[in-house]
Amino acid sequence: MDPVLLSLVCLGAPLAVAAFGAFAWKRVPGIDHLSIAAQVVGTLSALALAISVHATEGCSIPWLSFPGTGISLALGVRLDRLSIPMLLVVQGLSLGVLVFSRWYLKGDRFYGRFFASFSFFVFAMTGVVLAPGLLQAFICWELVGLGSYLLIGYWHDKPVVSEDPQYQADKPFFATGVIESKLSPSNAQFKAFVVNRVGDFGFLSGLALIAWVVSSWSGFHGGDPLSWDVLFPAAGAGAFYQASFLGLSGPGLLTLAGLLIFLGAMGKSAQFPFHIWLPDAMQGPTTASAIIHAATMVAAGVFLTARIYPVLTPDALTTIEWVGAVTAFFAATIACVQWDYKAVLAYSTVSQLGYMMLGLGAGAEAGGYGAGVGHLFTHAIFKCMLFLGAAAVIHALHGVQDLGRMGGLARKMPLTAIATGVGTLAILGVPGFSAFWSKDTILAAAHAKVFIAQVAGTGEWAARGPWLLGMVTAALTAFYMGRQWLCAFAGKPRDLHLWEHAHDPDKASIVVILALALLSLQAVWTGSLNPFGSGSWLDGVLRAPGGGILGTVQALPESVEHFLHVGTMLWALPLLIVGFASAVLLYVALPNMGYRTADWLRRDPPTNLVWRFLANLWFVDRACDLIFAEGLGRRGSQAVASADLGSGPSLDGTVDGAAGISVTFGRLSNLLQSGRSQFYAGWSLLALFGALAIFFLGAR
Amino acid sequence: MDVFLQGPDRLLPYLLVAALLFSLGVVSVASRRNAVGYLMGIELMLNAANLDFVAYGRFRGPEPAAQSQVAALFVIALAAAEAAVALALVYAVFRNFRDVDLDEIRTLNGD
Amino acid sequence: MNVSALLFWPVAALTVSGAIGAAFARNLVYAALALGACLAGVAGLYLFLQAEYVAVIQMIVYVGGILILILFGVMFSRDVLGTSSRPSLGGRFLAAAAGTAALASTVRLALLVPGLRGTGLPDVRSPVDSWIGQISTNSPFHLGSLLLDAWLVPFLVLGVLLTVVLVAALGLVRKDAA
Repeated sequence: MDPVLLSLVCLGAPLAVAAFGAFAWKRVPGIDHLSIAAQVVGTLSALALAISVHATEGCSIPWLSFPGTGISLALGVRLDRLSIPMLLVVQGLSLGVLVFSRWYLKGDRFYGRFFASFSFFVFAMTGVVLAPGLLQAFICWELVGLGSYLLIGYWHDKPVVSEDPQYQADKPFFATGVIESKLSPSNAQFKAFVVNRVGDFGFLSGLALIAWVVSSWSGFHGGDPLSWDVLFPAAGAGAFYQASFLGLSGPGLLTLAGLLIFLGAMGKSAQFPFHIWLPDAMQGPTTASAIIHAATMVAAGVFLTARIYPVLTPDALTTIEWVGAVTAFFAATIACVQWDYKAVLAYSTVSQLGYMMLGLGAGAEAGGYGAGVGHLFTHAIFKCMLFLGAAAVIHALHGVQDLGRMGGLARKMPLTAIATGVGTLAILGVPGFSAFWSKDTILAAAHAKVFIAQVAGTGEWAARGPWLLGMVTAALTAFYMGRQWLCAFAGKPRDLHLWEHAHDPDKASIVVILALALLSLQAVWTGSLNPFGSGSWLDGVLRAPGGGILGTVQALPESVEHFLHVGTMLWALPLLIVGFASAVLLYVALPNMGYRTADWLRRDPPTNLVWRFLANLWFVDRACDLIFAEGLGRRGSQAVASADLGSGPSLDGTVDGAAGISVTFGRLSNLLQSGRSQFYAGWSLLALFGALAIFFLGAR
Repeated sequence: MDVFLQGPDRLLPYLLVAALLFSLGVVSVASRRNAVGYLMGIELMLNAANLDFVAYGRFRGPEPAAQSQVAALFVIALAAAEAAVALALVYAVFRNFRDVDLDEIRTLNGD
Repeated sequence: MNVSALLFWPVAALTVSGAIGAAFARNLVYAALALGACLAGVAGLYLFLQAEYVAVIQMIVYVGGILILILFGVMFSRDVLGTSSRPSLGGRFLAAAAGTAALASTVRLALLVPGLRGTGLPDVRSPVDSWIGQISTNSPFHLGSLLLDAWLVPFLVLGVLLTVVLVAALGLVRKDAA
């Protein structure tokens, strides 16, 4: 089968379902079946592509042409060793989540709309993955934002949580930093979209800059300057040295372009400080979070960064590495004090995304590309599964998400407990599980960067920072994820009434969760049962792309790599054990001591200050709310509304006037519709024969 | 005088009669309040057209004359069909509104 | 000067005055009868045009059928014995304007016939200059063969149409189920 055709099927099937569902979700039952059918088709097509495509393929259709400049922007598909695995991940995970959602959302009042929105989202994400250039990536990027908007705001009629009795009754005991008067599904969807938009401003600026630079390059001979096929060779051949912008040229200009595009990635992948939308996005259904915030949409930012790898300068990469490291650390600290099951997962996602950026930023020689991309794939799978497990737990407990009321669920929900246990072990980085392989590779890459910097004699301390943060975060991750699983599934049940009625999800959903758990084992990813071996059957995928400014990538010598890996492991494993052991101690083994310790930490300074800082999410949310929502937003619109512009025209008056004109014209036209047949006949005959008379009178 | 004496042998008088018939039909349609009066105007217009058909054909040759007469026959048949349906409509309207005054039957208006 | 020339103008006058009556008579029964006179006049004009068959059909169908239908229809209106009210002032102006426009264009077209120059329409041979002889005396036979030859499809379609109209008219007048 023609690969391009298969990829178009992957794009077209969800789009068709979404378009149909947009109109028919209220009237036609069975949109869920249509979505699942489309996903099955998509997954099978992706599998076929993965098996059969061995070289880069694609097609481009010129879309927007600017005559005279030779620029002809194109849309199409590009199948290569980065997009095909990503496509498979997107399609396969979507299928699993859809199957699970049928159980999770059964009986919901907006049931059909979820599946239609979901299909639209899958279409948009596929568009980003298969994009042959920055233009299509941007267009589908925005559509992905729209898709997530639709899914986050699914229960758009829910009030703000300060007025939602169910939320107030169920919320965890300790303050979690949520601004309650402003949190609702509709506000959350808006917040996500707006924060994304800020990043997209950077994306669009970078896009424009790149288009300008590449098209004004002497070696540009027409085509799409934004497509990978044109951009990378142009960058490699020195296109950015010929142009000059804001006094920057050459490497500086390239760094600027790369970082602008990365700004877009920061928005989508919730890097600090653009992370604020992700925890709020938990207002949507948990299964939506499973696909959006774990596996695909937030991964789009990482995917994009991986895509533009050949044009990222070392400076840009270092910046990316730092951003990622700070994000990872920051989110991990907050997750340690969260009591809401989904909030822990949300911050964990932010943290792991930071890890991915850290990995990518380590640079190609350090093996960073492979590390970041590898973690992207493994994280997609185990995080999706963790979210589905969360959905199962929340459903079993009738909507309660408070860790303080859970406990001992392993006895009642054994299969869920096993699956989430596997996921937790994976995220911890325990050998034998997928993320051990990917996360440790990231840390090793960060370490390798330090080593390379030492050899090169420059930038060593800039490289040490991310590595240290990465290590500390690993310990914190072990702690908070262990804490989450233990509080939920181990120990004694804290709320017997809830515990009584807990049960595993239905068969189809269990199958999905267990399948994902299986895929979280290391053996699947490395192809061998030895957790400490090196190399994997995915090596071809994970090799850094050449071209662009990278030239050919010189990998580190085998022995050095091995040394670094072992070194990393020797540090990481103890940290992991320390972290997990603390969790076990505080929450399972000696719960009373745990409570007393926690109380003491919360009550007395200075730890009480630390606790407050963390519990209020480092005050980032409050700051953004104060500056942007209250300051610019509310005060700004008040100022505009109350501005007295004297006797001149005002904005309101213009709008009213325009409306008035329309109304007047409408009333005038209404007179023509008098309902009297003689009137109609008379006027139409008059018009006809009047015209004919004039016509014939003019004839000789 | 010449035209007057040669009336039936020239095309123009027929066309003028048809023109008059047609415009009187238009006046009926544009002013009659009664639905049946309205229909009478339509019949006038159809007759005018028919007359034109036959007249033109007559003055072109035997074959065009025959064709135009066939056309005229069709028009007559169609007019009959249309009148039947129209009067059935008038009857139905009368049953619903108890009135055939077109100025009163204007529920399908813009308000 | 021959008899046909002498008879032509009265017939034409009858037609036109019948039309005037149909358009302007206040009493609808008078209007219907005037319409009948007009239709008869048109039949006469057909005779002058040597379209005898059409003339006969005109009388049978129009005067004998449609006119009767119209008279039935008139019976349903309230103005059988009284006079119908005048149309509104605006309506009368509209009617006058539309009628004048129609008259102007049709008369102008009629006067243009020798040539139709300047209208962009194909040049029609002046009929007065061409043939004014007698048409074939077997006109019904000729018409019939035309109906089954060149005009077969319209003929069949017309049959279907008349059936449809019959059913439609019946459907319109039957009482709805209570």
